[in-house]
Amino acid sequence: MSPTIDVQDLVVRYPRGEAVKGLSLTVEPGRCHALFGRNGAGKTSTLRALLGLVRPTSGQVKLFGLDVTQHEAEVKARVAWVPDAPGFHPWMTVAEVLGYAAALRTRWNLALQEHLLTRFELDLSAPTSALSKGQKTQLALVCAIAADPELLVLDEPTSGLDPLVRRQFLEAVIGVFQEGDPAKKTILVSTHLISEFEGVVDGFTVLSGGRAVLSTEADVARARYCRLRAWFDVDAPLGVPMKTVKPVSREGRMLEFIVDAETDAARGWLTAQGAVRIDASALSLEEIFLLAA
Amino acid sequence: MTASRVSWWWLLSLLPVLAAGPTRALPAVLVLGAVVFAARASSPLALRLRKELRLAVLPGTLLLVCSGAGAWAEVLPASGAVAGLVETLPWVLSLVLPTAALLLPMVAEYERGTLTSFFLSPLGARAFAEKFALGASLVVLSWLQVSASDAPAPELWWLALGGHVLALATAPTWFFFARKEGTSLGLVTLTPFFVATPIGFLAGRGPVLAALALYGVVMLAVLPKAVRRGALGLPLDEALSLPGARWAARLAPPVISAELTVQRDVLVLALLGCVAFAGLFFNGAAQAAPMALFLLCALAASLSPALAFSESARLGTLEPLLVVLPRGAVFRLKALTSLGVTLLGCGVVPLALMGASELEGASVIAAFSWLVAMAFFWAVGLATSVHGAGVAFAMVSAWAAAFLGAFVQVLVFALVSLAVGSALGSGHSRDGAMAVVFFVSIGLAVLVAWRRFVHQPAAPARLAVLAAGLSVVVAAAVGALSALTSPAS
Repeated sequence: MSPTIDVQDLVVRYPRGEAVKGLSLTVEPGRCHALFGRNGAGKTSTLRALLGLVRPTSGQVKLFGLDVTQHEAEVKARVAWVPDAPGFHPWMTVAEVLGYAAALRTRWNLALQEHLLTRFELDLSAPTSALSKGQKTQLALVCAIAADPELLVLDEPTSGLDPLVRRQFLEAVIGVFQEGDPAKKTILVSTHLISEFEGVVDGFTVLSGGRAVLSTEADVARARYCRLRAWFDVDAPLGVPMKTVKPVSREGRMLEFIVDAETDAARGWLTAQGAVRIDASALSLEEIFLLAA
Repeated sequence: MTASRVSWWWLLSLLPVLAAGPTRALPAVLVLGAVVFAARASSPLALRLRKELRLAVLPGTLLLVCSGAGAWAEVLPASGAVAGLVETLPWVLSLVLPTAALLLPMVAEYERGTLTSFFLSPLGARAFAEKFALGASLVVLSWLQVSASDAPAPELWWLALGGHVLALATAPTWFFFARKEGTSLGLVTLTPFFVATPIGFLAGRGPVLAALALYGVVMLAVLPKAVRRGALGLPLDEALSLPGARWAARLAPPVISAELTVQRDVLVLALLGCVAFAGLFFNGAAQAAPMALFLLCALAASLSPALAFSESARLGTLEPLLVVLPRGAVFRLKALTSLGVTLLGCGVVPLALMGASELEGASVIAAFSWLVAMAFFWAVGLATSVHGAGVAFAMVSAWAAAFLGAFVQVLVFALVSLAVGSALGSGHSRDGAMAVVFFVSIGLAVLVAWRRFVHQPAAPARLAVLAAGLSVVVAAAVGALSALTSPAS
């Protein structure tokens, strides 16, 4: 089976400069993959190129094994998008927006629509101009999920939402969207709120300056980076012989450092140095992002 | 656009004014001083002024070029369509452009979200005063240019004065109280036209002054409250226009229905044109009625693609459409709906009205020219709207491009015809030749729009310049052919 997303050497250049500089990315079906990066790292430009909103300057973008520029209609029939600031015609009611969105699609899951409307408590007769930001995002999510897409693209979906709406949103995305056929339902999310997606994403790519500086599975990353704290009866050693990803912190008899894929070797070395206590803890995705970005 | 390029645009538009004598030169020197100061100095004032000059470059230079167009009559062929265009242009545009020159920079700030800084800054009042002073000097300069021209009729002179005075009176009120968006700007810009035109044509200066006073009261007292309540967000109250549009839209599928509802302001504007036409016609101003109708229909024609593309991009409804449909399909959907509404609202209905009034619009050739003109304004509007600029900017760009484009084409056509050896005639063969030129321009404008929207070329400006150059070459070629094949008149 072709990967859902297959990006090779993507370059997106605007008149003011290059936003994406040779990005490669592969996401298999059924995965939830995140794009992490600082402002201006190229996340949104990458998503826009995937969605056909900007034409790539060079490189190849394939969704479901199809080139997005050559098979536009086939690709777009299988993709849905929730932007960070959803826009609706202000004179339309919630019901009219749903009718409008359904009219643009070949498939529409009415039962799923009703289920989500009940879950979000959205009033069908309410005009969209009277909806809050959270309700607009919920409505955009209903429009996206009810279309029964195979790829759901989320661009900063939870930014600016209150904690309750954020939780409802994530539950809907993971619980409802991936419920039916989890092996085929893929999610690509771009976000700043990394901790929100800590237990949700299967893999992630950290973008910096338009390039991927780290692309890995979430579990692999957690296993790879390890924070070690050791206490000694005497002053802690001055240096660490293995590869660390952050300057070593030494305070009296305590030594702290983060190792890159050499946890066992580091533990052995600490024991040999006479450590009386060693604590090892996996890094959160946010900490890994801060190391990589 | 870089700061140096902005300065060059200002200098180019000011040079003819400076060369036109001391009456016009004095305010021009002041503006020139501001341009030079902004370009050379590095103080906070220069920085603010540079920003204002950048924001005002399009409407400001267009205002100066158009209001100074009277001087061009001396260097152009003294007969036919060119002379008529040159004589009429500054007077007609002086009703609309001064307001646009003052308010467009404010709309730009609103649309970019920078206007709030005015109200939060301790120097906000001073910054606003500078903004208004620059706009006011442009309006005064424009008026000096218009008044120094040979007035074709006293009514037009008073109308131009009305347009300029109203612009100065309106700007502060609008800035502080109105919703700063394209449609609100459209309302304020067009109101002088609605108020002053019928009275001005019918009765001369006294009623015009009364109308100005009434308008001032409305602007200062009534309008701010109305816009605060959101009653005038559209050119007409949404409560009036929306049910009608919805009734028609319900008959169509949801996607077409949404596009038709977006176009409601076009129909409202065309309807106002018909009302203005009927008012003028039945009050004895039969000659002025078609011109008023034409201008309003042309405005509506250029507004239509701006609503379909620019307004949709501003509302955030364009991108969701692009995510689910191919770009070409979205372009066709929006462009064809917009063209259909334009041809119906700005073509068929006005022509039927003129036909019923037994005016010149009833003849087949005049009706054909009318439709070609509407399609021309629509096509230029389409080319300037597809890249998602605000509605106000898309419309001003469209009008600038349409007027200058039409002017240059007519001029090139006429000069080449003359150079080849035939006097500029007014026969139907010439109309046909000009129609060919405009058809080519319409085709090129649609092609530019298609390329910009669907294929997203890296350098859209280069594409537009190329298309404009090509249309001028066609105008020259058709002019030469026309002169060679037609008998001299």
